[in-house]
Amino acid sequence: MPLPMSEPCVRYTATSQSRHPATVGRAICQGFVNARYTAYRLALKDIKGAYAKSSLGLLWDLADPLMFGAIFYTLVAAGILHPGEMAIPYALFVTFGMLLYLTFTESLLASLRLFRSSRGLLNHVKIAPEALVLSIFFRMLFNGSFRLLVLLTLTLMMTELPPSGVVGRLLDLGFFLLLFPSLIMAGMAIGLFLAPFNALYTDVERVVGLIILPLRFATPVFYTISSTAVLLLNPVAILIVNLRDIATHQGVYAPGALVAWLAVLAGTFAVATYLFHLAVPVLSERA
Amino acid sequence: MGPMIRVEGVAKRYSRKAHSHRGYGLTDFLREVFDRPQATELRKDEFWALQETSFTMTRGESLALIGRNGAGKSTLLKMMNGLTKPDRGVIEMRGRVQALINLGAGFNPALSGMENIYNAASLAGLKHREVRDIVDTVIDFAELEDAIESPVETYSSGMKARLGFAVAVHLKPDILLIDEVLAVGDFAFQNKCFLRMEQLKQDGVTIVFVSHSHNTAIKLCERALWLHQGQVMAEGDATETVQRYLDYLESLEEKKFLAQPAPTQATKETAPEKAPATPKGEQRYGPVVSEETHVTDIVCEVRVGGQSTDVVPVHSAVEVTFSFRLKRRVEGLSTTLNFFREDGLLLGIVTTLYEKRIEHIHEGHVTCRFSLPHIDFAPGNYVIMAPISEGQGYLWRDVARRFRVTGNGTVAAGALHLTHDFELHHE
Repeated sequence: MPLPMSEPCVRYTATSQSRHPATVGRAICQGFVNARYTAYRLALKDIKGAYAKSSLGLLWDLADPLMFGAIFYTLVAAGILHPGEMAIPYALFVTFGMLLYLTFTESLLASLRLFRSSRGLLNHVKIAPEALVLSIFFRMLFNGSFRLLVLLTLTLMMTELPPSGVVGRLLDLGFFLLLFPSLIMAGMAIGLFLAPFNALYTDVERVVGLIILPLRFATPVFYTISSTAVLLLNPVAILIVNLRDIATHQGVYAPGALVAWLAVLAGTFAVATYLFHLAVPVLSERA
Repeated sequence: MGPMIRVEGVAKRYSRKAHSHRGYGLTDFLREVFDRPQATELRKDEFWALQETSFTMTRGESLALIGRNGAGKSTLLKMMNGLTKPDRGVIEMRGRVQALINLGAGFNPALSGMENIYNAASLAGLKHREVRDIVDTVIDFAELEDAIESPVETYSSGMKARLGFAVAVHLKPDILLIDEVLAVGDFAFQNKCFLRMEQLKQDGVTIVFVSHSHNTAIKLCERALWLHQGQVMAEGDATETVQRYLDYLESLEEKKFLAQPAPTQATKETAPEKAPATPKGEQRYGPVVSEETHVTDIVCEVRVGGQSTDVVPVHSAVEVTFSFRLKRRVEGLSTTLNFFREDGLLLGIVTTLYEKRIEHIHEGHVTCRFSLPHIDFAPGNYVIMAPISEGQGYLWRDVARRFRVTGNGTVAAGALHLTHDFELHHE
């Protein structure tokens, strides 16, 4: 039976794909559209694999930040730490800070390690790079959904209705839920951008690890930060402050800076996805 | 209609050193990003894993990639599957390509066989509904009905292979790329796989098959491509190409064999007062008693046409003369020639034990001549392990001679190259 003329013919050459960036862009978009089910299965495989031999499963992921938050709460309650003035209860403040920051770092590290964690696949199975990217996003959404559940429950328990009433609360929470994936995107944008370099040199991951730790203290995770400059120059800070403020009905902080950072992060994500797409056939064997 | 596969002037290089491997990786990545031409020649510490490889394949054709380890077969397969970029040349693949480079790739051992079927099929681009349509057939083919809900980590390597192969061949590929992956399955399943591949060929699937089994290559493929150190040595009819490759391997073995010292002479010339420790490799031929406490002057000769030789053409008549001197009176003497293939497979024995040709021998010189009218061993290297026994005890037992059997230009398989003739009747 002859093949239909429309049967795709794939061509592999030494020529750089960058010579035709529009073609790469189209391939990336098609990859995201066509690889949804593959990405879903990959994410499902990772999730099931990760918790297959654990009775408490995802609760362990929550345990670490909540334990950390509890320690800080105790320190503040005992008067040892002074986190500054805040409009919401400190327990809520620190839980938001910890779980949101965890979502950012987890997204960053999962993307950063994508070459190494997918080495077995990349060396043996032809898979669209976008399927891997999308699978990380799905995985982070899944992990994030449990954190969101905790955050929304605490918010309902510990905050009062805004002046606009139930509708206002629902609008705020809806906006919060819409903005939440941007935190994942921020982590993934930075992680994916660095992933090709981390595939070759694990020093990149060590440096990132070194930066993540102090960055937590330059971000309003445990305490408020009064310096406007720090808040505006730190994209993670501006995202976390806004997510917390929106969910707890305090309005949007520095909307101009938020939009600007969202645009920058979206651009970085696009560039990082492009780089990742180019890097897969060049670096998969070297990871 | 154009070819299904076109490979033209393809080359791939790798670095020998880890440090430069990563360094060049960074350079290559940046060149890819900024559209700078890749280096066309070898850089420091690099070698060509594959050079100037070209061939085309039409629909329903099958090609065996043969060659020793490191020849570039898997590299070529990976490039054809788009897993890695060629450094030179062009590869064009038409239609849906399915590769079986590693049967367990994409499997999560903690998940059940059923879940892994869905995962593996989704990696090949199938949607949930499409997987659901084939899942029963896959399970049936893999013969894993009872174990399909068990975690894959509880499967044997053969069961994993069955599952992986079953998924791959039911994805309706236009081109199937298979690396040496079926070796782990049992014979019945291997046979089933080969029958399935024959069916796929008849359905028009183009197959590229990497194999170290020459028989399989010939049976499954019409054409073969012999790669050696990244270079195409021959390409054409599978039987002829495999035979050329086997001739080459035989010439290598012959060189290696001729470079070895003859064991008996060497022992005589260099033996110190106390016999040297037996190399561990000799123990694959059974127990070794190499001290010349009871016998001495051991000489074993292989003769063809009356001439002593170490190289025996297949099917020739051979006379083996085994002589030694007894240091004392021995009751119930027997001697045996155990013919081992070099890797330790015992092919047969000739012995004086059962026919009691030698008995009540007093001390002195003993010579045994064994005549073998046909040496039907497959081309390769052989060892004569020759015990000299007194009753059940060994007076001496060690390698007495090594020799090589050379082929006669026909493809041999298995341990024996049987003398045969045949008639074919067709109605």
